Amino acid sequence: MTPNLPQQPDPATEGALSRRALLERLTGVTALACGIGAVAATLRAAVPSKPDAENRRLYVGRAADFKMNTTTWLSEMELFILHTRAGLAALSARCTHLGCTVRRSRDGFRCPCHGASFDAEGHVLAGPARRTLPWYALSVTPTGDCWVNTEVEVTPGSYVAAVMLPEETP
Amino acid sequence: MWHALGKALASLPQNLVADLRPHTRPDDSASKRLRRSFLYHLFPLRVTERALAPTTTWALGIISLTLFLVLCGTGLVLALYYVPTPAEAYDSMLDIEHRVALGGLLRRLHRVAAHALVITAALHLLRVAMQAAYRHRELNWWLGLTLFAALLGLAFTGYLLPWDQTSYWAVRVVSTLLDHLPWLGQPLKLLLLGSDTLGDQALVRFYALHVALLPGGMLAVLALHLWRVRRDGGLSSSTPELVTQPAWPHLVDRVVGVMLATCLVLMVVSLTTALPLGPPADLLRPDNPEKAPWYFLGLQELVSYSATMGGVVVPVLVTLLLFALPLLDRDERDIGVWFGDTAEKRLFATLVLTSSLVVVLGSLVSTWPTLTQAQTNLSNTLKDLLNPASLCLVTTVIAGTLAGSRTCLPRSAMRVMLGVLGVSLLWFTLLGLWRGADWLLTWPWSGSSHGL
Repeated sequence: MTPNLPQQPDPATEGALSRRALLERLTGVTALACGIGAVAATLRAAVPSKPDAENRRLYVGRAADFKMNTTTWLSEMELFILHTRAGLAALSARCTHLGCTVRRSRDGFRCPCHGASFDAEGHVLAGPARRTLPWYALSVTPTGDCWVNTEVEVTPGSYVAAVMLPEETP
Repeated sequence: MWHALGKALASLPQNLVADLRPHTRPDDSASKRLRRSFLYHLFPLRVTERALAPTTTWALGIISLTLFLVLCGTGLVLALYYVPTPAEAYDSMLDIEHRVALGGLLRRLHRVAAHALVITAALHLLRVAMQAAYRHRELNWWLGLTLFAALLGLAFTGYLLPWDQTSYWAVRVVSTLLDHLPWLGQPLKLLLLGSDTLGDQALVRFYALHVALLPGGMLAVLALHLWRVRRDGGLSSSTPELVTQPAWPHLVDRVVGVMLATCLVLMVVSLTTALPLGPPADLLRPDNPEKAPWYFLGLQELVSYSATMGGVVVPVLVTLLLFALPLLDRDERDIGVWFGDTAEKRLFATLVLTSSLVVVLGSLVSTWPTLTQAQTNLSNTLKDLLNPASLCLVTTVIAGTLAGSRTCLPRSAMRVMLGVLGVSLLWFTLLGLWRGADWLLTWPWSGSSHGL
């Protein structure tokens, strides 16, 4: 030990951090990392985990329930069931503009939220909607039950022939 | 030791009161009083004559602050009774209205104050923008814009909570609107709704936003906002004023007077207007027409032309313009005055009037049946580009460019642009009020009145 020598710059430690500065920096970096981690964790917790898949295959009724040349509104399922000479079809009742439920109008459907209007087959007539109302896959079982799969969209205009079975006898 | 503690405790209430109110010892100077008490610490020692003149700021900041405090107070009590579940929200609102002591008055106070705050905060923002008072106050301008955004968030989440018709369909529309926002839309939607569908999760999240996150954040930013006013040395001005008055009593009296007057007006309006609840939410069927509250009607009208243009492009561009204002305008002259000179005033009036006329006529002409027919055959991109929303945008840019090239001042260009945007927003709100069944134009008094 040689006390009280004038401080000579040691070439080995010149430009290096003092212990205090190093510790301060490490503390700062650690605090920052913890902070970022905490914010990220909080945000992650706020994002919900994937919800259970909803049942998208809906039983809509018996084919015979939908009279020829009518449009039936199934309010709970947000669907319109069309029955024309060409057959049966299922149209979404949710406006393709901003998601309100459309209403039937003289020339087809009309949305009360922003005035989009569609023809009887869901093609855009006027207003802010840009897409045809989605047509969903509809199937009729041999027993005459109608099912709609709202996960599968079909080309507008594809009707399903409604095979009219002889009325069941109880 | 116990004796000392007892003495300290005994003098505590006295000291607290002394800290809150100014010491009135006759030998104290006004400045001493200010430094000594907490309430008066909020104010500077001396203020300029200009700051005291009512026409400089119209006290819009103080009025807004008062309304915010009233909203916090009334909201706290309302939050005790409100139940944030779709099954019970509406019933709990009915309870507040009819069974809670003074509940109806509390709810109306909260609602009237909220409507008033949207107006006063917007006017406050407009005042600062038009006086170029954001110069040398950049940070505070941005803090103010953040406060305004939070305020709109509070207004939106606030009218969702009753879970009536307007609430439910408004959430449905806005959550679908997020689909049109690129990149950010989907994660934001999931974060906001808490699920794929609109239900229990969504309402709880809106409740949390409305009673905790947004007001808490706003309180923090508000404290900064007010503190910055002091730090920046009061109102922005390019002509330093030497004549000042002691803040106590001149400023303090005025502030207290404005706060009391605000409360008085609020109370009178709340006692004399009915403001009934809408019908409970019908998840199957929106009303016809289904309208937003008046402060979002302009936006609703804009998205009724095009969701992308009116709901995303225009709001994003306007927000960017507002944030960029202090960066684009670096002029040192005429800070804190309404207009530079009469020539600029005349130019402003001419450009804003003609541009607004273009927007008004353009949007009226576009409702012409033959034009709507012609619009049907356009491609989707053209439909998004050719509508009153984009007309408003183009007119704003042209008017701004004209003003800028005429005066060579970015500031007058920006003033004209804000003027055109402001008048257009008013016009679109008016058009929204005139929408009747099937979103067709009718007189507001024919048919059911919505939107308030």
